[in-house]
Amino acid sequence: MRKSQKSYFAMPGILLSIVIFLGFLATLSAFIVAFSQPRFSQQLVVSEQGVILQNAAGEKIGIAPRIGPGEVEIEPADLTPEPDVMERYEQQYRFAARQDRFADILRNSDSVTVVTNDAEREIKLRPNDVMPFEFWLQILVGIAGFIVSAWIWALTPTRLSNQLFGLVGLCLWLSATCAAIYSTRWLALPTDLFQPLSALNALGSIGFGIALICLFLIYPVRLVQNRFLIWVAIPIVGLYLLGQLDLLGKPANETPLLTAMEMLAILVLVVIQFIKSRGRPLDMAAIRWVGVSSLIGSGLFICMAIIPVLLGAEPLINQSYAFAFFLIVHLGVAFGLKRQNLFESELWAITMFKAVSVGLLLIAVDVALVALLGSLSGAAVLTMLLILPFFYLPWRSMVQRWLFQATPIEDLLEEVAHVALIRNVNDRCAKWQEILQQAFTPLAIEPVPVGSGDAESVAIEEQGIMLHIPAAAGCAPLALRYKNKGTRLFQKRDRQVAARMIDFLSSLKRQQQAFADGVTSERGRISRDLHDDLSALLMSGLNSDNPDDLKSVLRSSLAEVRMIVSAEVGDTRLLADILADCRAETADRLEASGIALNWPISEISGMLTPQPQKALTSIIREMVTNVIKHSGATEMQVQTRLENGVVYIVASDNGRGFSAGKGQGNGLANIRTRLAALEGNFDFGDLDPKGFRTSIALPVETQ
Amino acid sequence: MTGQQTRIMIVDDLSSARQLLGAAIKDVLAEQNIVNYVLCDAASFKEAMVMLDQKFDFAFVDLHLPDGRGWDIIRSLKANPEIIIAAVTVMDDRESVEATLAAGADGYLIKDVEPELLHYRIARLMAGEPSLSPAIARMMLARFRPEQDHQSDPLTDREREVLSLVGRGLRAKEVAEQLMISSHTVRDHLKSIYRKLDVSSRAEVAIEAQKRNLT
Repeated sequence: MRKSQKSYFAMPGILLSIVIFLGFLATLSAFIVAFSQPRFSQQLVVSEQGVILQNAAGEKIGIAPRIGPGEVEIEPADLTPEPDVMERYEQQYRFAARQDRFADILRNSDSVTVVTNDAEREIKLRPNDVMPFEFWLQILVGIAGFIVSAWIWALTPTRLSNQLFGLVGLCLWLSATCAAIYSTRWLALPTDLFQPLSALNALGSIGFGIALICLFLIYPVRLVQNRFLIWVAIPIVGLYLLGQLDLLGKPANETPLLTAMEMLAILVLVVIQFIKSRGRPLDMAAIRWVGVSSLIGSGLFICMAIIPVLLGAEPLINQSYAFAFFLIVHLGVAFGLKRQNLFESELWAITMFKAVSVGLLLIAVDVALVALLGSLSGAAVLTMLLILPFFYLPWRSMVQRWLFQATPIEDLLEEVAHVALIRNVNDRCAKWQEILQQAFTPLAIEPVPVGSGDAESVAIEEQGIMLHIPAAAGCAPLALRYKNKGTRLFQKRDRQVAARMIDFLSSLKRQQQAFADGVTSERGRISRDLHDDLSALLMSGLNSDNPDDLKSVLRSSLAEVRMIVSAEVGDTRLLADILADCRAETADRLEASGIALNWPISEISGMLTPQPQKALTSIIREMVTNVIKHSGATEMQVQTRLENGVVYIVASDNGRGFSAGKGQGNGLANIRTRLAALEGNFDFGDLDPKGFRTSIALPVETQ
Repeated sequence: MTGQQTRIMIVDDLSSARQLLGAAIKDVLAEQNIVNYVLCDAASFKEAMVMLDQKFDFAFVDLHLPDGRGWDIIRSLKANPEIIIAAVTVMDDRESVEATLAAGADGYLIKDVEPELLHYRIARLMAGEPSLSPAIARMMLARFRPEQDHQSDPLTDREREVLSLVGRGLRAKEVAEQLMISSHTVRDHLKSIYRKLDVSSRAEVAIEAQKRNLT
């Protein structure tokens, strides 16, 4: 039970959804903190004249603003977005003390005194809840980096390189989100909020560096053992802690110096990785994307934001904007993934990411709609309720179907039937895979390597992540991984559905094969019959000069063709049926010649195989021909009986008899030869006082 | 029949077969002293279909024509209920027989039988006597298996008896003797049985025949 739950969370789609959800939740709490601080529409800006107050439109209202009951003047240093860049600890302490004081004032006062044209004026501050652009930029950088990293991590959550990249994103989020809150404050934040945020921002920046250093120590080419990585982290974290206790001499030695050193280390490592991965195309591709984007992102950040500070100058760029450089790292990796096999990701990585994004978007739109419905007036709600079913819900169900709903099996069985009819095995297997794709929408379908787990039946493996499809209709066994675009585990029902599809496919394929076999064997039968029987007959015609014999040969040949075509040749038939057919033919022929027939019907059992069937029919025909042509008889008698597996047929007439008849010899010889070949017997003789008798005996199958 | 002209149609794509059949028919007609007759030949399905507007007393139709199926001609000819039609073939496979009888043919001639037998069968057919092949009788018995429900059984007990005796090789006269009825009654039974086959399996056989033609 525990195990299956564990593996349920191992589904990359689920994992990613949960992590992204948590990320949004954490960002939301950052919003709450940011929005709960006092904020006004007038802006405090540092200019050449010192601090000035502007209105919302950016026009100057006055200079040298003072605030609160104590009329504390606001200095440019108070507006520093990032106190890390101050030169001395004393400045930081003073900054912190003044922040506390201002925060206290802002909670109780909402006016500011400014100097305008040598006159002092008190300006009333108007509350405002619009966040500046810098705030949104940093939030965006944080969440975007977070999502990309979470995605990479969720692909293979247990691999160290993926974990490290995930950590990179987490640190970026922490750093950017915390900085977003304090760097865009309106004048001040209380120290008990400012200091933790600043510390977390520093932690994020430093952690970002540590994670990237560790990543490039093992990826794409492993440079050190895993256990060495801890020795990278410990000293840097130690320095960070010393920095938090202000033991590093000056603020610039804390985060700015540390991150600069880290970035430098990263640059060196990227170069080493470049060198090491030469001649290894996959590693090369990885370092090209991850490395170059890290290089650009970190390099720009160091040049623009850190080095000037270390040199005692103002940063060339506002730190808020500098965060965007880090996003370059993540976007580079994301693009690399899309093009290359980074982090040994599979092709399905993109599909899974899309599915998770759309799924979360659906939830977001739903939540927004519910919120909207709650805040609307009665009439508007009614309109919405009318609009929703026609526009939103169809779209939603379509998207949902794309996301989760595999095609129902009923719709697929017809497709499966078509698969069975495809002759070319490659086309057939391609179509089969396509159908499996539609049925289960797995992220990956791979052929199972020969000899590994070649189960004969459908099986769920890897705790529900993989569905094993056995070989079917000439297609290799397949492994389906990550059902429903990585959001579901394979279950018993899936196994049954797959088994049904395979049964259906196999049985159709078998039937088709049977049909094909039937065609082949039928063709074989026809050619065998043509060769054995018809050719032999026609050859015997070649040897005869007698026109009567020739006609008889031709007739027999046509009769043979008839039998071959009607496929009766192949069947074992009832002796009684054959005798019935012979009797009817005999009766017709004799009646046409004015000869009476006396052929009593007797109960007779037994079967005849094809060869004796033909022999018996043509022997009786021959006997009748003899009676009609040569005997001059007025009556023919036929008696049939079966004894000990032998059928005896005695035919007699009241004609001239053998001694008087001419031209019978050939026919009688034929009969004798035919019967001998079938282990039968033949006898004939004249009757007393007149007439002729022929008797035959032919073994039959009794059972 | 003496006053009126007897019109006979022969459909076969092989001229030798038409000649053979025509000669046999003329012999039979001469034997019956019919002199006022006309023989119309058709060498293809199309030719035969063009002649359908004329009225015929007898028709001999080859089943396997290169441009169509004989039983379609038979079915069209049977629009005239007076006509007597024989299917002519060298094949007597089961499906052809069934399709032919279902199309309404009165009899069935195998082209290559001994001349005297051909003559005899043509005479019988022109006299309006139904075919009496044991194989066909057995086939019909197999087709009309007795139903549990007596009401819906398509054949009467007597018809079944007739079929079973014919199936064992007895001739109409012998069947009549055995059942102690007249030969005419036996013939009536046979005609009635053929009509039932016609109704029951016309559609089925047509479909089957079409399928076989396609493959």
